[in-house]
Amino acid sequence: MRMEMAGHVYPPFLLRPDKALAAKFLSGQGAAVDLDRVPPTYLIFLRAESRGANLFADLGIPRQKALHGGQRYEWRAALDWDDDLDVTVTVEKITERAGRGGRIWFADVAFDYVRVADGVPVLREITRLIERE
Amino acid sequence: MDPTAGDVVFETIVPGADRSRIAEFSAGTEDPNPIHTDEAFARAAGFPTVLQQGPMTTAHFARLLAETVGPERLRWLDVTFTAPVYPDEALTLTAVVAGVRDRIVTCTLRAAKADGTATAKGEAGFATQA
Repeated sequence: MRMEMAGHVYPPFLLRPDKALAAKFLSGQGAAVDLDRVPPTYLIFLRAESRGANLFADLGIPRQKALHGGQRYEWRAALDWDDDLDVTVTVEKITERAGRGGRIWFADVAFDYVRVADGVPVLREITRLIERE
Repeated sequence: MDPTAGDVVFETIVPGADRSRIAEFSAGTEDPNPIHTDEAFARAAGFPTVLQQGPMTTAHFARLLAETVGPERLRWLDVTFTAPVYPDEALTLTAVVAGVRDRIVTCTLRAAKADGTATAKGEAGFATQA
């Protein structure tokens, strides 16, 4: 874990919800593919990886040592399919603890999704990444 | 009538996802992590087989809440993953009202396997009805 990444803010990237991806997101869950609305957790940190915020590489977390600790969603405004979003990724904090099998690092990373058309924040997502020693 | 502490918002058994559905969910979330799709990689990482994604559990909770109370009432959801979920493992997802304050209903979430192993815990908040 690169502890010095704590506090890092990435340059914003642009994202628009995609119905083809949402259909896979829903069918993967075994849910009905109802695309009337953007599914509530369709926006997810993983979409940043190919758009300039490659967290596992940048934080120095090898895939085979990685775990996912959890997620938080705070919905602030409705989201439509044709909304362009500015996404800002912030490494909020990184902590180290002693675990049973060695050290464990926790990185909390926040994703702020803001509608480009009117500047309204629509979602804050926090993902908690874990690296095992 | 608004809910009160102890009310069950939902208690739902979600059937297990097989490997092809887990791969579909990876595609739908743009998740390149081979731990969800590559058996050899998952074993090298110390697991008996590929892992179902934690965010699939989060998505189930969000979807069930939206179906139960209406998507426009969702305010927040916080899920902690506590044990791995493997292919074809059904989960029982529950949401129970913890309290109501400032026009927000808070509920406690739990996901568990058939043998009782808890795989996620959390909380969610949704708006009371206008």
